[in-house]
Amino acid sequence: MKNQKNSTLVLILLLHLGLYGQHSGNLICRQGKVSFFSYTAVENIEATNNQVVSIVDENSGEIAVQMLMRAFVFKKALMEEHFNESYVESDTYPKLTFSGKINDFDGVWETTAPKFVDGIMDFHGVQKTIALKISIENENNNLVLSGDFNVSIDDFDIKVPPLLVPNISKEIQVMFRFEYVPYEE
Amino acid sequence: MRTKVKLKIVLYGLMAIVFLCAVYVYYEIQRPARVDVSTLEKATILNTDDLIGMFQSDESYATATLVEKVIEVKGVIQEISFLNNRHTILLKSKNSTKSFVMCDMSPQGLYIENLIVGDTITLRGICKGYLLDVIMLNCVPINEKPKE
Repeated sequence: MKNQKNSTLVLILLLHLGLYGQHSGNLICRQGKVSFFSYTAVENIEATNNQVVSIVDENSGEIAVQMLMRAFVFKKALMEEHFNESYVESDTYPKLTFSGKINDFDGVWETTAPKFVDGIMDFHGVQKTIALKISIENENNNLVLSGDFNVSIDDFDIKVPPLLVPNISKEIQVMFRFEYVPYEE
Repeated sequence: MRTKVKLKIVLYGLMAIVFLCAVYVYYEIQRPARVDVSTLEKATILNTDDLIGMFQSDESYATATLVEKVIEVKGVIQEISFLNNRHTILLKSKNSTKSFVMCDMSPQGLYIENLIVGDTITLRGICKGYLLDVIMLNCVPINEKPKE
């Protein structure tokens, strides 16, 4: 319930940004890519979500991200079933949201220097403040934000059955790439 | 003597059961996540307006009813994109200019050259939920054939 409420808040933020998108130069990415990797001696697990939505406010440097946990695609069906049913409990917590802002944003997007984004990630019923290092690029006249970070499964209250502890890394590597286009009403 | 024969039969029987179980477990572990939705029984037939409308009016109910189900959706192509090595077709709605049905296409049996923006198409895929758009994965066109 709490997760749904927070998802709704982020959606309101997204819609709020979108409402004035025509005037304030907001950018949208409907097909952002987020992948995660879990490396252990027993097995490597990876999955990709290509339908992550993100909106950026060009003027303020605010970023909102939302994704469906069930949209992660695995190579093997059993991994996908365990992920959705046992670990992230996708029926109870269907979405992951992140809302944050670029630190010391000066309104300039044309930079090669990495930036840091402070924000709150709402995942698996847990809200946690995180700092992300992002790269800013310009590809085909589109703004591209990308980066990677590690997530500790303990931080987000993800329980792994004792039998499967050797199969799941405590630290999950997450990679993301968002290519934005102007938001048009 | 007969007891020994019986024991052998039981032993071979047990070994066969263990072997079959091992084969089953192996194939279950290796079973690919992507499924061919064209071979699955379809759950619901909707147009884009109804599908988007269901999520916009009552997301919890639509999620409980439609998510992880095979949906056949008919709509007009708004956009065809190729990003992250995947083709995606965006189906537009008459009632909503901001929400679409986003269909991540299965590479199997996809004749993308047949399709152009503005075409009306029916796609079958697995519904995953709703963000700004309704998201469907493993989509395949229905009744699309390669150009001759």
